[in-house]
Amino acid sequence: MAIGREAILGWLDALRQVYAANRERLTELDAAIGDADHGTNMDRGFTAVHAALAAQAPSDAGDILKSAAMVLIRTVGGAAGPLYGTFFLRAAAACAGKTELSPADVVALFQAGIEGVQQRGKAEPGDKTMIDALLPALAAMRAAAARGADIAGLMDDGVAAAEAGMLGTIPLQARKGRASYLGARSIGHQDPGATSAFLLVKAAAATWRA
Amino acid sequence: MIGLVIVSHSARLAEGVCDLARQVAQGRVAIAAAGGTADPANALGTDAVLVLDAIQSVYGEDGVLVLMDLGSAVLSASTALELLDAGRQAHVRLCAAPLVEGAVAAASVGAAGGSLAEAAAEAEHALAGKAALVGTEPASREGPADEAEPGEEAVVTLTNRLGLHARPAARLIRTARLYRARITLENLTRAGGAAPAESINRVLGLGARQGQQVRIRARGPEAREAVAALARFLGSGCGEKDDLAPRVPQHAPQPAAAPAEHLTGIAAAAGVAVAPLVRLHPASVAIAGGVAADPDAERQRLLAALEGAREETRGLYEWTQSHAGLDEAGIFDAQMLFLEDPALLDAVSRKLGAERCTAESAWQAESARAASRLRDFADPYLSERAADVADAASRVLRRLAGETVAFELPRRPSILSAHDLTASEVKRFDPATVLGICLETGSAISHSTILARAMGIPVVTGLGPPISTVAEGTLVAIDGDRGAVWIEPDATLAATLESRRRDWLAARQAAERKRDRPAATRDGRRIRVLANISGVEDAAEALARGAEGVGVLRTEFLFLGRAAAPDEEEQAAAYRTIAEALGGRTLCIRVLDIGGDKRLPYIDIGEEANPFLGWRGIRVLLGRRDLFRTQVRAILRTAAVRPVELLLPMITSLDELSEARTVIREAEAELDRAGLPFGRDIRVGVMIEVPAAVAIADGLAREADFFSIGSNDLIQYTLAADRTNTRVTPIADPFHPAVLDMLRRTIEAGRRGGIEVALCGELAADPLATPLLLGLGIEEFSVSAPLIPGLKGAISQWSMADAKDVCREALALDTASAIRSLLKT
Repeated sequence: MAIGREAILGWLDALRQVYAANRERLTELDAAIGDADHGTNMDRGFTAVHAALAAQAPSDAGDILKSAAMVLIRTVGGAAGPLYGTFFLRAAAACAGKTELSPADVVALFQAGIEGVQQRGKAEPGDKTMIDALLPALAAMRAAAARGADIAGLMDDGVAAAEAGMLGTIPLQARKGRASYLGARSIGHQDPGATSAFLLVKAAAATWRA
Repeated sequence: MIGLVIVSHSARLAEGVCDLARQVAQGRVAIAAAGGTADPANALGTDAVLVLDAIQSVYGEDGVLVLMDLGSAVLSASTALELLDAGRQAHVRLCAAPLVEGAVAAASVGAAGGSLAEAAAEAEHALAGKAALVGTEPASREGPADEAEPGEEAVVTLTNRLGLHARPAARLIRTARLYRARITLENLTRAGGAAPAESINRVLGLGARQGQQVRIRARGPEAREAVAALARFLGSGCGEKDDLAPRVPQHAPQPAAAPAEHLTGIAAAAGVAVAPLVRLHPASVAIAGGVAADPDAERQRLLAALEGAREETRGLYEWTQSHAGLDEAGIFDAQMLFLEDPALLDAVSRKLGAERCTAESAWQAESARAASRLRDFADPYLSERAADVADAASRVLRRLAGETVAFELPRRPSILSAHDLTASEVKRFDPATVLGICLETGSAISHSTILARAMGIPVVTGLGPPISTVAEGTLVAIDGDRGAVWIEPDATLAATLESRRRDWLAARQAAERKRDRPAATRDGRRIRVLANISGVEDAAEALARGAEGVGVLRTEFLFLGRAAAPDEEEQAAAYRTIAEALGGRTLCIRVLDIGGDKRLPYIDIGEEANPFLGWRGIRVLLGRRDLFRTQVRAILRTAAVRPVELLLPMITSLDELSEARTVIREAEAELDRAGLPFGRDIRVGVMIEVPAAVAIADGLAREADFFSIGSNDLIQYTLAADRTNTRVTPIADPFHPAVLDMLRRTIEAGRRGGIEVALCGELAADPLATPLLLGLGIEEFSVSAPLIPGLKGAISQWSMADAKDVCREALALDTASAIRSLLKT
């Protein structure tokens, strides 16, 4: 099975719903170790993405992702804006000109996006950031693709790994971003960035299973 | 004009910082704010698109510096960079400087015409002034590096005998300046922290010697290129031939059985002389102490004195280069860098601000500290450099004190005695009146003695206090070969030494005459031996070594180490000076050969996986016609005054040659229109450096006026082996049959086309290759000046008949080792 333009639009729409539904929860997590705006920021960003694409959606999957990236960069605010913006910018480049994405293309999309986030934020695994959910997800998706899994199969593995990674941030001490100012007091809280990153993967899996 | 972009979470803060910066920029820096977001409901934050717009609005080819406040501002700025055209990205620099201080510092550097790199460097250390006022330590220059940029590093082992001493340190700093990167060096063997590659004091302070490991680290857009270039430089012996390095002094233990009182010292410069003694008393400089009313005025005085001292040092550099050669001149280049050392100048400026002392005392204190840091090294060579630092520093002090002449020079033939001498003092000596020099201190390896050696003045050093007690006017004899000095030698001894002096002078003159004799084989075939030069000063050295002209003038010297290409007038003046120095002898000017391992900040070559297979030589020139035409016009204008030839590097096709010819015709038409005098029908030669050129040599010979074989590149391209890569060096064997075949084909094509074929490159100077090259039919060689006497000697060993025999035999062999063993028999 391959996914096309509609599936990409579906994923972005699902993200709008997911971040709207999780707005309070993300903000709560952020209130514990950050500045209590992550839920609002993500919700605002993806609502704006939806509005922009509803007005005029490009025909190519890469262009759709690039439009989303530019909107996120401008509307999310905080570190999440450039980080998620970069994710979609690189993802867009990875599937530029493609009308349909094969399982390998999906892995390439996430790989480009996740590498972008890592380069932009310079976070290492264990810093208590988005990366702690995204890198395990990428590794699991690659392994599944190597075994010959279809898109639904590799996304399921990705979601499971992202969730484990997200939960794994709870005992960590933050070393990047605002939470790092808390030092040891950041221990015991789940990272809001890892949580929104998990939701990013999960929404793709849910949308593309159908 | 550089651009400056201020990124802040707050639009008002960004605007405010811009206002402060504009106040010092005086309209000479383009400044834009990128504060807040476009969303009025969430105005605090950063927006990569706004940053991108701001960068675009101030963008110019001098580049843009981006300063950011905290956290996501950095992420937004780096995202904006990613959104920018790839071509522009390289000219935009994110700077980790403190926002307000950095903006003001960068704007003032930009207003003064400083480059992007200079503005960035100043901004990054902009806290120093405030820290001095508050009374805390300023942020160190080699503090945590900017993490927003990728870093590169390499570890190299120094191979040359004297390690990273003044000359290589100066060349290293000049090389480092070519790259947009912040570079530090660390001596891993010695431990003691990293030194910024812009500070000569700190680089010398590494005390890095032969066999020690040095780590090079760089950050910035050209970090990789910078590390590669410096690693190559350090790893390949710092560009020094160890036989040229000063030798360890030899004591002269056996005093000749002489009745007169004699002193034994160190033989520092050869030669013999007998003359009355004159004692040199160095004039001391009075240092005005006390409190200065106006620190800014003191700063201005210091800047003026520094400028004058740099000017004087530049003069010394040029003089030494033309009289004693590039290697000897290196010390003055090191002194120039000392007078430009940002770490030293920072320290002096801070002292002026903090202590309100006079420029003299601030300069003396800080320069003496720099010298004493070098003296503290147990290493004799390094502590010797303290004298060079003091020499350069005293030039500034003398200017501050309004004094320019340190002592009176003798008017009659004399032997001088002094405590110590600096190179700049020796430079002022006239060998006709200063017949010899006796020093209390010093060794054989100071630059003053190297200079004296080049001038033909015998020197004995390390004589100690006894020499200072000898009365002026006393007859003394000096033997610079043995390190002996006789006080009041008797008539017999004086006569013996006088006769040795005559022999010595006669031998020097004979050597000079021999040098000017043209090269010929044993059976009388005239062979032209020319010099490869790369500078105005080299021309004099080439003649001094007996060159019949210049086979290749590498013009890169005019282009390297600066921010913009030299204009037509500057180039024409340089070529003309060289042509006039050669007095009508051949001058073959090779147009700019950039690319490969050489880069220029104003020619964007871009990232290349294989620079030697990339954009270099004629390829760059045909892509940058503006530069090419300017250079061609300068060369044609020189041809109006003296005969010159034009040489094209890296030709691989006939098209390139005919395009270059078109450019030459265009330049002629332009000069015609401008009514400027120029030489018509200049001879145009082609460098044969690539196997493709050999393959089409018959065609090229129809279109070109002469060939010049660049053996270094031809060998490396024929054998696909980089000579500087030690693992494949043995493959890059000039005696490989494939290389000889390339040479043979080129020479035969030249003969069929009726054009001359010259050979330049290291192979030309290898005595093992001489019979082969003669036998193949090369009638013109071009080598670097010091190799000329040896090459002439090698040519005179062979007759053409023998050379042809050897050549015929060699061409029949099919391995390099067989050919080598044939040539060695």
